[in-house]
Formats: sequence, C-alpha cells, structure tokens
Amino acid sequence: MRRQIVFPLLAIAAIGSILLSGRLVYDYARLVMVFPVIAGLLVIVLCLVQIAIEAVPAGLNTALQRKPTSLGREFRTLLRIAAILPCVWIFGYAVGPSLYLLLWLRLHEENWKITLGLGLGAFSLTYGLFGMVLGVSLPKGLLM
Amino acid sequence: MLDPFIAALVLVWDPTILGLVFLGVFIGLIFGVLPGLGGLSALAILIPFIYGQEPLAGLGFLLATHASVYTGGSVSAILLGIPGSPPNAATVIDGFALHRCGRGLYAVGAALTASALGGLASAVLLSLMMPLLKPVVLAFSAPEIFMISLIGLSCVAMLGQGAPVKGLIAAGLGAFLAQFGYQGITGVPRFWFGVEYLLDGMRLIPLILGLFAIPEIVSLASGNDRRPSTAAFTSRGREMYLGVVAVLKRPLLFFRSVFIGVVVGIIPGIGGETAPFIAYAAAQKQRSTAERTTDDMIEGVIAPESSNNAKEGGALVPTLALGIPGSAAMSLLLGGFLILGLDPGPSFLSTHLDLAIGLAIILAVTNLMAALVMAPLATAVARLANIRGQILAPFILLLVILGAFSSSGNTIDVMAVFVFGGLGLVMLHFNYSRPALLLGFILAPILETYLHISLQAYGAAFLLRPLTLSMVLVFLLALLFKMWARRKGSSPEKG
Repeated sequence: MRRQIVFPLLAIAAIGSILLSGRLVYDYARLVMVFPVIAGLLVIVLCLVQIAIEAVPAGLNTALQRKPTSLGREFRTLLRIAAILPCVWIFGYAVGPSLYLLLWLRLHEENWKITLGLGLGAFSLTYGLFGMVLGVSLPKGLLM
Repeated sequence: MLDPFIAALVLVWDPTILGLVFLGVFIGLIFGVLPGLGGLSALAILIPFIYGQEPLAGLGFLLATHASVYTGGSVSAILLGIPGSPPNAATVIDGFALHRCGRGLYAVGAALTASALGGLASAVLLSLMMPLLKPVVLAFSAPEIFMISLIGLSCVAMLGQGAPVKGLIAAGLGAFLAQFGYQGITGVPRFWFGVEYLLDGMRLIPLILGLFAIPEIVSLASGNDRRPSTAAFTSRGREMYLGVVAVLKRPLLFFRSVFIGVVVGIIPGIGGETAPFIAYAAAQKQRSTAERTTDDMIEGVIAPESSNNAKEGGALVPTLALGIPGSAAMSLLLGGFLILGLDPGPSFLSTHLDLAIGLAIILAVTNLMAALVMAPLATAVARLANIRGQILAPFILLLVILGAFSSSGNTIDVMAVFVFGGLGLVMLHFNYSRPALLLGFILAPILETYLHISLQAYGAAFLLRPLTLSMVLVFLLALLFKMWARRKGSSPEKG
C-alpha cells in the first residue's frame, strides 16, 4: 500500500467515527451538528480525492514529495523528548525541566561544565523569569 | 483640521509617556520572542499596572507592549522556526526556509523593516481616516464577515504551494479540530466524550507549539542538519541591510499587504491571526516548492509581517469608534479603557479625538522603536543557530513547555503539545500544510457563528448582498488572475 494514502485514510477514519458518535451515541441536535458535518464531509471528500490522486501510478510528483527521513525514527525522538513529562510530574515545573535538560546533556556526553552551566541557566529561566518576574504559578511535583 | 493632531502630538510628547512606551516595547519584545507568550498574555499580566495612570500613559503602555509582541515573534519564527505568537505562524513558512538556506538575517532585516513600516503606514492611515471610518466599519455585518472569513480560508489552496487539495484537507482538519467543546451559538458541549478538558475545546497555543515547535525540536534532537551554514553570519550587518532593501524594492507588495492588514483588522470578529495568512497567500506565486527562489521566499516574509503590524492599527478602529474589539487582544485593551474611566463607542471619536490620534501616534512610534531595539538583539538570537542541535533542542523544549503551561496554567495543555507535535510530524512528512490547518482552526468558530447569524437574519439571500457579492467577485478575479499568471509562466507582479 502506498504510504501517501495513510494520512487521508486516518483522517477519514477519525472524522467519520467522531461524526458518527455525535449522531448515533450523543444524538446532538441538528443545529449543533450542522457545521461539524459540513467541515467533516468536506475533509472526507477531499481525502478521497487525494487518495485517487495518489492511486495514479507512481509519478514524479509523489516521488518528489517523499521525504528521505524516517517517520518511525522521528516518532522515537518524539518519545525521547516527551520524557520531559514524567520529569515534570515527579519533580514539578520549577526543577523538572532543568533536571531533564541535565539528563539529556549527560546522555549526549556533553561535558560537565556546559551541562551544569546550562542546567543552572534553565533553572534561572524557569524559576526566575517565569516564576518570579512573570508570576506564573509553577506546580510542585510528586517529590518536590 | 490639524488641531486634533497637534493636540495629540503635545499629549504624546511627554517623557513619562515615552518612557512607558519604551518599557512596553521592551516587555513586548520579550513576550514575543518567547514561544507561547503572545500579546494576550502580556496584556493580561500588565493590565493591573495601569490603575491610576493618565489615560494616554496607561493605554499607550498596553498598546506598545501588545504591538511589539509581533515584532519579537517574527525573529523567533525566522531563526528558530517557532512562531512567537499565533500571527507569526505565516512567517515561519518562508522565513525559516530562508534561515535554513543561510539567509536568516536577511529575512530578519526584511521582517523588522516590514513590521516597522507596516505599523507606521497603518498608524498614519488610521490617524488620517479616523473621523471617516465609522460608516466603513458599520458596513460590515454578519454576511460580510462570514464571506471574508471563507475567502481567507479558501486562500489556503494557494498556501498549499502546488498541492491545493492537501492544503484544503489541512484547512478542513483545522476547522474540524475547532468543533470540540462548547458551541458558540447554543452553548451545547460538543464531542467532549466525558473529558473535561475538551469542554473548552482544543487550545490554540498548544496547537501552534505542537505543530511548529515540536517537529523542529525533533529535527534538532535527531541530529538532522537543518542548521544554516555559518558563512552567512560573517556579514550580519550586510544581510540585515539587504533585508531592508528587499522591502523598499517591493512597494506594491508592501502596500497591498498593509491594505489587507488594515481591512482585516478593521472588521470586528475576524481576529488578527487571519491577516498575515491572507497577505501571505496573496503574495504567493504559483510555483512548486522546489522552484522557489530566495526572492519568492523573501516576499513570503514581507507580506505577512507588513500586514501583521498593520492590522493592529485597523483593529483599533472598531475598538475606538464602536466599542467593538477587533481582536481578542483589543477586548483586553477595551478593558483598559474601562479601568481608566473611558467609554469607547460612537461618541468617543467626537469627545476624545486627540486621545485616539495619540494612540495612533504611539502605535507608529512603537513599531519603529520595536524594530530598532530588536535589530541588534536578532544577531544574538541568530548565534543560537550555531549551537549544536543536541544542546539547543532541550533548551527550546524547556521554553515550549513553560510557554504552553503559562498560557493557561493547565498541565494537560503541555501534554496536548506533544499530541499536536505528532500530528505536525506526520503532516510535515507527507507535505500537508501546517499553517493551513492553523488558519482553519482559527476561522472555524467565526465561520460557524456568522453563517448562523446570516442565515437567521437574511436566509440564503445573504449571499446576494452587494458587499458580499463584491467580495466574491474580487476573490474570483484574483483567483483568475493567478491562474492566468501561472499559464503565462510568469509571476503575477514584481512588487
């Protein structure tokens, strides 16, 4: 199966199921459903058109659009950067992000001088600028 | 005739007011450069500080802060690929592409000049036309607002750069994402699936940060070489100067974008985020991504940045003349008026014309000041590009996390950033336009509300109102002109 049709297929599945749930499960009134149905059906029709375009035998257009980078690799990196969330959950907003930065830099074998300097800078930015100057209330984590 | 202008100049020419304006510019630039902290956050945080101040001093301070946010935001949009505030998202497309070609400071020079001159032009227009604008503002009712929003959304086909269907799919998806939560007309919560967070719908700031910042952080963290060559930074001054010249060489493009900004800003209810996208789409030449030159790309920076700052002048008109805020930020400014004991509305221009013109002058001064302050700072931000991606990525991530959290104080917003980040990665991978999705998301509630009002008030005949028809006609003519220019194989204009 051509990879290019994955996105339109996913869009059709997501929009279709949300619209169906609105109609069959929640039974929203007509006025509430009119605009989502217009927007949703428009996207579904356009996705079908796009699938038809992609179904045409491999052309120059598709070849040009295909990216050399791997989506799987990018999603693995996304998971790595999302590790900041448990850090924030455990250590809170004031310390968690700076701690994550320290861990990240050490895991990438950055020297201690740069690691500690940036960690301190990150903490000053979080606690000093956001916490003190801008008065953002930074929630605590499980431990601190 | 000139009396109100002279009175306004005398009012503004006060060291306290000028000092507060400078302070506002500085604060605004900081808010602009930091992703997620837009003009709204700045106004919300600063509004308590104007209690007890003179009207022009307090309002000038707020206006200066708000107006300079977009100038700061353009720098992070170009050099980091992260829009500092929602209207800067249109600048990311070509601005960041130029940066990756090693021409980041060229783009910054153009963006700052376009911002400064755009804001200046709109302020001059505003002060000259202030007494005449009331009938223009009143001419726009629900059908016209619906139509101009629809035309704005249709422009996404042009944003798609050679893939109009993908552009429209992205816009439609954006519109669909805006359908979650309380419906504006009936107040019925829609598609919230028992999740309380969804009652208020998807949030704009996490969406922007996810779509634009996360893919960039992933790219930096993966070690993909998307950084520019260092050669470009050996002649920083010259690059910035070339950017300034690029704007001056394109007067038609500049004035057209300013016009779009002022008109969209004047219309209450559309929201300032729309103007830069429409200006960007109008500036696009029908070429595929691979064929685009530096000249094409710089036009994609000049157009949104000119209209971005110009729209602030426009948005002041309905706020002052009708008491109807032209954008969300203007509604906070309206709160500032009320705090200071002023009552904007139809009688405001006759009783406080000097104050209104004074605000227009402050807007002009702010835009120039913001560009002058930001220019030397931009080279410092540009140096970030020389830092290794593995070091830069967690630092930008930290800003994104804090920006997302401080915009609403809700941790789920921070998680949402990663969900939208995944969507952004997929869209980038398969060449779907992320700005188009953003524009669809912004315009959908406006479209739904004004479609409903138009149908209730006029029935389907709202489409036949003279102003609505004229808009459709102008849009179709513009579309035909673009198609003709494409067939001819030449650009529609040399701005």
